[in-house]
Amino acid sequence: MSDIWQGPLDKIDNWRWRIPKSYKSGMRVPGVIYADEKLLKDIRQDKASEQVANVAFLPGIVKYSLAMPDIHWGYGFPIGGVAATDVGQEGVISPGGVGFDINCGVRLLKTNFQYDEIKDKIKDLIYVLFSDIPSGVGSKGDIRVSQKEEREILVKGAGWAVDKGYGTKEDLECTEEYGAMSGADPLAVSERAYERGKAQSGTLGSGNHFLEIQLIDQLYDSRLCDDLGLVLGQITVMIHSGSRGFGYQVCDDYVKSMIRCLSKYHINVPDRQLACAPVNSTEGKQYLAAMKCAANYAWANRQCLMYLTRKSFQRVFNKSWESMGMQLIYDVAHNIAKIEKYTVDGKEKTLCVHRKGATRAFGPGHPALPDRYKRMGQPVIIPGDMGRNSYLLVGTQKAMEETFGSTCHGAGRVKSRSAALRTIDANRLIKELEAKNILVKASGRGTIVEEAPEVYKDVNEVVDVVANAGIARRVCRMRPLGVIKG
Amino acid sequence: MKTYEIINHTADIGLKVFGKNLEALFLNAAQAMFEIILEKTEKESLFKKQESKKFLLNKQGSNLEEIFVFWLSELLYLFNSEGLIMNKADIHKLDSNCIQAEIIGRIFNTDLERIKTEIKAVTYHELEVKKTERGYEAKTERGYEAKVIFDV
Repeated sequence: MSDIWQGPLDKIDNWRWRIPKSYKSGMRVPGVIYADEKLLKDIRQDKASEQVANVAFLPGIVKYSLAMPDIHWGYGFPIGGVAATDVGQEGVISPGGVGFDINCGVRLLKTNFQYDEIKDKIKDLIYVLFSDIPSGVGSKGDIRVSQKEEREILVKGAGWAVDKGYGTKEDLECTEEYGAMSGADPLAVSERAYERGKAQSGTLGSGNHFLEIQLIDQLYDSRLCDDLGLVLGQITVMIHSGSRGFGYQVCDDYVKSMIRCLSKYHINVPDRQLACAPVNSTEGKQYLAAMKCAANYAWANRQCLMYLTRKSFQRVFNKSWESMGMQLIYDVAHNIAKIEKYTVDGKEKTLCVHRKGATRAFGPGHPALPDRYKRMGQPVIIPGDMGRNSYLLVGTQKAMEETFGSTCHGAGRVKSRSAALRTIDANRLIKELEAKNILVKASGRGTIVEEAPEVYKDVNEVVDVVANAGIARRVCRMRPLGVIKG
Repeated sequence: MKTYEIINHTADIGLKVFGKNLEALFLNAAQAMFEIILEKTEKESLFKKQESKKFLLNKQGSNLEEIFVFWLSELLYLFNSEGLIMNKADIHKLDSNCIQAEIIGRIFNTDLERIKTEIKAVTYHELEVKKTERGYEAKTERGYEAKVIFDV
């Protein structure tokens, strides 16, 4: 990462920078990165901008290859990338544009506790949550399913969990896609994916996945907070997880098979990880049907994790979760491809929107939103690092017009894992977090170091950019009290 | 002689591997991958008492780089599904169209060792497998070199 990216980033306004189409022959559209001058310096430190330019090669790409301010170097697509392709104009779908952790996402639930009522119980809660929620690499869950049930999960998503009694209909209403994408085809999924997925339902996973107890430390929009029933000092819980080994295998299978499609459909991309096929081709349709299975698996998983969380709270407080007001605010996917309609140059078009480390941010009035959120716009959940903040935002009309209804997804890494392990001392870090009243439990000390706050950008700066650019609106901010890391 | 080095990547883990010939390159890459996955342990002597398992691996591809990714992906799959940790491998055939090998290893045992890093997948991003200028005969063992990025 010592090589600073030297390519052109022309200023559009204070929050947007353009990589002109002329930068590389083969780019079909320009690249546009959302950032301020300060974040742009970080962005130049790795190869993410080059990846924004590479994504602009995709056949059928519309308007621009986008990147959010939390952008960083990924493989194929940058993390923080958004690309929409025109399905009617041989637009492609790329498994690499979704990523291995299909429907990695976040959910936020509220409680009716105030910090003062719960502060002496944080430690108990974290220990109970840590023991009751399987986490860590290759963790296996207590929620065991038969192969027939696994197929049901792939089709019904979070609805499967609700049918089992792990939640309510209301939870589904507060989940993107109501917890399941239609069109999931279990036959499009390999035996290997089944094999890897069968024991991992209801497990958190590892790496940057987490469960956090938080308190609301700042309100930005009192009317929206009133509507959502949120006040200063209130306790919330955030869950970040994805489709585990199941999704990794689906992506792996299809990246490998789509490399063949590059020559079959005469597609020229500068990186094999951008392997793709037209959305309307047999291969494209098959991938989409398999991706939906993985997405539904992830929603079922986060629903199970929330169920286990509610049970842990019940165990510690000896009260029902309903009486503790543990309602889901919303659940969003931030690694996914969706078929959505947008007006482009005055015409309505059906687009395949890839969000790779980006969150859907539908504005007020969108038909996909449940009645309760129609007026305010879709809730958007932005997890930060474990030492600073996380945010609740809502989508805007401007996001619909400018970014295919998308906004950022988190803080974004700036420091590699190996650099973190070289320079950060675990004991010092745990003490520093304790001094800020943040208790961390992790399966491995390495994870704590690799996920230290300083390896991330400041989420406050990232959210400033999307709020100032108008592609999301701030509702409130949280800070962590207790964190479970995989 | 160092057989691999970790290269910086913001979110994931990059690996540069060396080998005096192709077989050595592939074996060194596999070894490096397991060193990334597993935490070092002092109980290594206990591994000897463990039963060893054999798996046959046979993959076709259209070029050497693809074969290299297939090789590591297969080993990763065997680890994730069977818990197989490769100790050694007899590579029977290896060229730019196929790899056939017998993998011999132990089964991952949570009482003896811990996983350090979950590798989600082997990616094609910046993938390279090439002969280095010095070639086989040079005194250095670096006849072949490969670069690969793992999604973690």
